[in-house]
Amino acid sequence: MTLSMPSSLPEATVFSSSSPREISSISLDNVTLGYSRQPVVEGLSLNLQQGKVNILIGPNGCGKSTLLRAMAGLLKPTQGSAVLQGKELHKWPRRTLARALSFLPQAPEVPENMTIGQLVEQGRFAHRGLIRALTAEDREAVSWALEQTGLLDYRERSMRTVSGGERQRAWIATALAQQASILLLDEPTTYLDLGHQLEVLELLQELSTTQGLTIALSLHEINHALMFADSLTLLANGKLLYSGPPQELVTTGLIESTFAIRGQYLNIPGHGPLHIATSSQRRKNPLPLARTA
Amino acid sequence: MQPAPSSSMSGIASSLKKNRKIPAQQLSGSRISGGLLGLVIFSFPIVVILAIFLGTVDLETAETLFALFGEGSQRTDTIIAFQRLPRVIVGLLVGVHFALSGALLQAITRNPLADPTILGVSQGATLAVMLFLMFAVYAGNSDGSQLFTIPLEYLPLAGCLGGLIAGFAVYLLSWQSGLSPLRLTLMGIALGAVLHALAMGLLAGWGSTRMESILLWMSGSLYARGWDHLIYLLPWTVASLFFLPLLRRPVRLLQLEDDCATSFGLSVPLWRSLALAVGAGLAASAVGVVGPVGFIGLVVPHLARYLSRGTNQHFYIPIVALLGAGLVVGSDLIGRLLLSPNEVPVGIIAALLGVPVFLVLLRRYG
Amino acid sequence: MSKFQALSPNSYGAARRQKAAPFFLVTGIAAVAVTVGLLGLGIGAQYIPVSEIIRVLWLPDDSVSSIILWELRLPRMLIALLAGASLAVAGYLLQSITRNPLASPSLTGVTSGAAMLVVLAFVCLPQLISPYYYPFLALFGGTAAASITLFLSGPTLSSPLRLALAGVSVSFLAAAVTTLTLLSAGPQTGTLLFWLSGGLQGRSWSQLLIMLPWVVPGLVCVFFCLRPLALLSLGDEPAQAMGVNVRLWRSLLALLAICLSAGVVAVAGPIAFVGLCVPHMARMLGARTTGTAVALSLALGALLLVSADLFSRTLAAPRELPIGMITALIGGPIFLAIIYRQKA
Repeated sequence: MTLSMPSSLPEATVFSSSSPREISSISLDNVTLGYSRQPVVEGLSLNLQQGKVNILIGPNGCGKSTLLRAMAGLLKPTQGSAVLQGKELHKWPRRTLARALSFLPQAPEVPENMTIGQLVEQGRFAHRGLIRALTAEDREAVSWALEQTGLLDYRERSMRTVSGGERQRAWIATALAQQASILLLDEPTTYLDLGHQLEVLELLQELSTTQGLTIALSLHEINHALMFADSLTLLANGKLLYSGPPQELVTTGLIESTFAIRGQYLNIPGHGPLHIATSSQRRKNPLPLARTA
Repeated sequence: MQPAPSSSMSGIASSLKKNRKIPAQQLSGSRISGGLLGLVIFSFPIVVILAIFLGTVDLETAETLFALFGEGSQRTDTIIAFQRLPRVIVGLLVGVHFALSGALLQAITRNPLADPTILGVSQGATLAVMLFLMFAVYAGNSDGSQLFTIPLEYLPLAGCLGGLIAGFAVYLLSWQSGLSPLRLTLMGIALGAVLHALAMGLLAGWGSTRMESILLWMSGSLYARGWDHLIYLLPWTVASLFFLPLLRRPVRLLQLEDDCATSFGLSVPLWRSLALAVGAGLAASAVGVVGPVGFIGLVVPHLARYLSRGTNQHFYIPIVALLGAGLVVGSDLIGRLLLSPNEVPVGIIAALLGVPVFLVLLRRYG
Repeated sequence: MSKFQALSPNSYGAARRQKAAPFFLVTGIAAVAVTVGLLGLGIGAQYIPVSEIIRVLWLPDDSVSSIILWELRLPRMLIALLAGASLAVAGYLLQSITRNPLASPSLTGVTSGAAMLVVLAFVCLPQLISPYYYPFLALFGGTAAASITLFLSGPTLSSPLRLALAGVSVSFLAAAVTTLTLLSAGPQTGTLLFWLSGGLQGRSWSQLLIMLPWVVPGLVCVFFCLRPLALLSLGDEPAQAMGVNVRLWRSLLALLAICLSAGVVAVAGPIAFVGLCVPHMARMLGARTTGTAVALSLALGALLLVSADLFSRTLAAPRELPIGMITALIGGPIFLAIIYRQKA
């Protein structure tokens, strides 16, 4: 199996690139977000680039998850507006929104008594509604999502017994099965080994180039962000520091100052610049040598 | 983009193909629970038939058969048509109500220890019934000059209303731009404790004249339940028949985190409220008619979960309903016969029958 | 069981608000509890003025007030304080180890096991067993039922849910046997109903002595188990990773909770509400660490039960009201208000 779209791909997942699709991008305009009056993100404006991979990076607690939750319409901005197709996100009916946009929170709780196949079927709720039985289209979408995440043989496994990586891939498959044109993922590579991390990122990239999906995800691994982002957004303390192509971020020196690290860029032909962090700026008193001896 | 490296994914896919063997113990486990499930399904109609044919009054089998078609002697006809048949039907419905309400409440509060008492429904019903009985005594019969009379037939209505009001109060108090399962649970136990204390206070202070009927009601019994009582049950049964198929998918999504369920397209506050309303209604109507029976709502959903292992998940809810109904009717039958002519409350027999089975299953499969 | 909200002290959002130093909160509430207890010494069928109380407490003599104080009110007050504290701490322990907000001391089957044995003995061997032995029977029945629960939940308590379900079922079974026995016992169940409704009427030094060996070591040991307790509330795996032998400690803490509740149920009978609700109150009142939460539960439980006891014997004097009812009537509205004011 290769990552080029398989011929068995269900009709619905192939978003034909010839017919102009609706403008499916989220734009945040001067939003302030927060929980119980304490703003986490203040006065931030951001447009997701349509049909591209948008990656959010930033130190812990900078507001990445909050921003993604706002984009998913789960958190209503206290000020400003979050708009999809000209309509504020929180005004969308949930099911209609779920057909346009899918969101995967960071490390969701594991449901009991559910197999991977059953979980991925839950992703079809937005299409099936309350009554409709599983159609051929639904089944194909589920199989396709499982196939993309390499979980086809894991359908009948219980979510409680599989490994952390399989669990995470099952959640990603669930979001894929939703077949929305916008995909928001909060640190989707957590719990995955390096091979699976790259695999997921390549899959997302593939989805955006071949099917025009708009993808936004947060990541901790800067090099993955540099490699896969069409548009990179750097956040710190709820403020937007940079948003644009990754190649230009490299020239600003913002990565070093934001993450308080020292390091160097390394140019790999065909991949662009990668960042090698060599030391932290924060640590002033390393462990006394006597301790380690 | 660059051509995707195909080796990584196909390699992984093939490496995942080797099927892990299912442990032998698990297999035999699902076989045992499958056998038990078969036994339950098989014995259900037998229990119902026995509940009609057996009772405190010893009737000939043939005579009972005639009576079922309205051809028996007048005495047999009366016993069958106005005592046994309605009692069995009320028992069936009550069992379904308790069991389904327990399953719903456990799912939406995400707490396996939830049952109709955690919404304050049982306690509210108890308080309402107590108030009702007191008014029926004091307002009705003080020194013979009746101010007004409340017919005792309305007792189930009072219980049902009390339970619904309590459930609704818990709901209102816990609402805070959404319903958090923990907040709902805590609010339910707090309000439930207060209502229960008030009821006990009434009983201690002013209940003396009606102590016996109150205690009888509180221990939960199907004694003398007739066709009238169906009025209080049937609307909820019908409503739940209508709503449960609609609720099936939302309730399943509600077991996920709220954020996940929402982004899969579920309006979480709406569906949690609706499921809660159905659960509370089922519980309140059942409590109103037979009194608080604790065991069924809490344990039957778990029992059904063990029994439905290895079957399709779609059968879970029907199994819950079947088990609840069968357990109530069967326990009532035993309760009628055990210390005949005295009756043992249905909840006690249900616990005596159900707990050992449940414990064995728990011990085996954890 | 990751589905349950971790019942750590912080899970109610209390940490966000700045609270008075927990030390003062705990000592304050404990001081109020003792004050209420001391006030209660003077109030009752016979009023004893404060000066008299102090004099008689200092130098007991043969006066009526001295006898009332020393034989009736003082031991009763001590039992109330200890019982309230123990129930609340036992509830806290069980809620932590099962990670379920609905857990309470009766969850292990202690209460209904105790009730069952007392009722059985009364009905089956009425001439052999005098009420004097009830506490011992209750102690035995309670611990036996709890041991069955522990056995059924697996030798190592691997799953908190299994512990909870086994406890609930054992309780139901014991309660069913109790009711069945009561039903067949006929009309002479007055004494039993009195014991079954729980209360402190007529409890004196001998009952306090029965309770002490269970309750005092329990209350002391809890404070040596705080760290494993705190780590367990993070979840099994993190706790294991941080060096807690999860199965061992869960069993130990369950045993501790059983000791505490068995001691109380033996003397005071089943008292609901305290063990279920006080731990939640303690967490919500801003206890940030497990230690503070346990200490606060202890103080609040003592305060609640000692005031409930005072009300139960004075409100409808000379009759006594059921103490469980008064506890819920005092504590319930406070609990409701606390939950209502919680921010999501």
